[in-house]
Amino acid sequence: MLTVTRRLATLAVALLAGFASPNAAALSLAEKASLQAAMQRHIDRQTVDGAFLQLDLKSGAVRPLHPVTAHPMVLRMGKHYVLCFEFRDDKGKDVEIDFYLARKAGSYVVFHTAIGSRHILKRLMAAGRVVRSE
Amino acid sequence: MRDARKAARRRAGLRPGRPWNGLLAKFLVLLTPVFLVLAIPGIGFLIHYELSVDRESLAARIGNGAARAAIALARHDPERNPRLARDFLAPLAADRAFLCAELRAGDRVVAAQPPRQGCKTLTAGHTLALPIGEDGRLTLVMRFSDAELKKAEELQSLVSYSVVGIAFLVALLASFVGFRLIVTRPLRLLTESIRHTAETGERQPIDLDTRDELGMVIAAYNEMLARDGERERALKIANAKLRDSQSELAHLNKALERRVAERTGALETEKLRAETANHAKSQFLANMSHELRTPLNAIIGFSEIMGKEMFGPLGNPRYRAYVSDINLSGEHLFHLINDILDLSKIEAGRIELKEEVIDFAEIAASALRIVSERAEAADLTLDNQLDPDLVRIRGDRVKLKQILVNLLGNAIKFTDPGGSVTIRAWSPDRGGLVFQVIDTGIGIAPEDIATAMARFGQIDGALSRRRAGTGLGLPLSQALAEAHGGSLELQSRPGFGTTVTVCLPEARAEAAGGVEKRAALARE
Repeated sequence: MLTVTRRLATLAVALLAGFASPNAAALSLAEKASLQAAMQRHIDRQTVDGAFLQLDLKSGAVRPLHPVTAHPMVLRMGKHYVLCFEFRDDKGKDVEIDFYLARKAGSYVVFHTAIGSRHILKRLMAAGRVVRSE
Repeated sequence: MRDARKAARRRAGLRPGRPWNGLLAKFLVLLTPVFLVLAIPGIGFLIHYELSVDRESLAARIGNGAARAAIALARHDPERNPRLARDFLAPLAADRAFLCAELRAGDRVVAAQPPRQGCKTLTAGHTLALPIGEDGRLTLVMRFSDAELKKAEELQSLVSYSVVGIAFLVALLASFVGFRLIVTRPLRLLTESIRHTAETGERQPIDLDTRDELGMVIAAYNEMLARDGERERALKIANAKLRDSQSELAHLNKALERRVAERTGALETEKLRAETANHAKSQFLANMSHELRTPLNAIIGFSEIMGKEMFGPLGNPRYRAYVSDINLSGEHLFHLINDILDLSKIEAGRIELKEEVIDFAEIAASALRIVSERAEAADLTLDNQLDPDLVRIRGDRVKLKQILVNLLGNAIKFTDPGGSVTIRAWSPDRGGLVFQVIDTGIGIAPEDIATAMARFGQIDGALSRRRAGTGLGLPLSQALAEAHGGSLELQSRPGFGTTVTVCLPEARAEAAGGVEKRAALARE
């Protein structure tokens, strides 16, 4: 029964995923964990006194953002990946930061960081450039 | 009894159906595949979605935990302090997906969790390797299990399909009960009512107050029954009236038949009596006419001898006038007696036609010669317009000539001086012969024609006296024409003249011939 269910489910998801993105490819559990670890280590390396510093290019102000929790969702953008982490500023306001990662020598590195720019990611998802990774 | 009822139902097309032929079965046959096609992939999709979320959560949990351990290890020198390294690895074991972890420097294990065992004996699960620090000399290798995902999938599948299965069964049960209440019951009531009406003829309205589509059908059925009942009552009343009317009509018919029979009997008696009397009268007239003609011949003959003074002069001119009057009166009386005799023979059924093939032109010429002197004396023009191609006919020469002389005599008699009398004859396409005598005389009013055609039916007594007629010419001519199987018809207009048409039937026609002879007669 479970085998049949699994096959049917796989078929349904494959159909839906196929409609959503023909380039979507499955990531193993270890690769997903590796991506999460790469993001975590990148954040650790970038933090100063436990805070991720954001520079406001207009005002020149630096805003410290404190890491709260990692979003489990892994998005795929071509051969690159997008992961999210939730931060909180000193005023208690939540700020979401999207990390764009690339594969490098059996591991992953962050090549772009988008702070509070969720609309960019949504636009890319709407255009089908970014999809949820299986 | 039960078999008979079943047979009656079968004949009426009301045989009860099998459950699998019912509407509910058809409804379920349609609904179940649709439900299964939609439900199973839907549930599968949900389970897969939940599983992928769980996978991502597991990956995030393991990845972040391992990364934090790697970061912590990088801040210290785990090679010099293996105990500290084991302390950093120990919290990883708190995760239920954790299987083992080793901090390696090349192939050498610096620290392990579980302590002293690490991942030596473990090959299952997923492996995550993270470099410690920037030089990459130390590596944290961790193995973790996805058994929780499989358990979660099994549990979700079990719960989801159990819920859907139970929901499906409940829906089936609800459909069954609801269908019986909403559809089957009204249909059963409707079917029973129809069967009752089909078997007994009684109309049984359905007592069911619903406002759905079936309720509307039942309401319409009840209305139809009510209308049929009213129509039947009206028909019964009409039938009763019809039966009463028929009964009354039959009664009247019997009375009428009785009266007709009585009248018919009386009429037959009267007719027999009249026929007997008429026959006796005709016989008497025939006998009397014959007896009268014998002395009359003597009167006419002797008066003619005396008028011609064959045995010496009469002397006084008044005697000559008296003798002439005696002769004329005798002649008139002779013709009158002859006509009466002929009519009597016809009425007595004793008329006999001497059938022979005759040329009508010859008869017409002879008749014209007879009346020409009288026409000349009356200053009338006689016109002969016979068709030169007349067919020969079979008939009684004397009787046909008598018809012509009668008609010509009447025409001359009732036409004023200066007028004309014409005789026409032709053979119509249908066969037979038609001849006409046309005058320009005083004519007859339409209402008097029937009187003129009656025996002794002269219209005006004074006129009759002045014109010296007996009123027997027309009816006698008609009787003679009918004796030949033909007809006589009179058309007239007062002041313009009269046309008498005699038609002889096709059976009287003979082969054409004698044209030259007719032409010669016509010239005469």
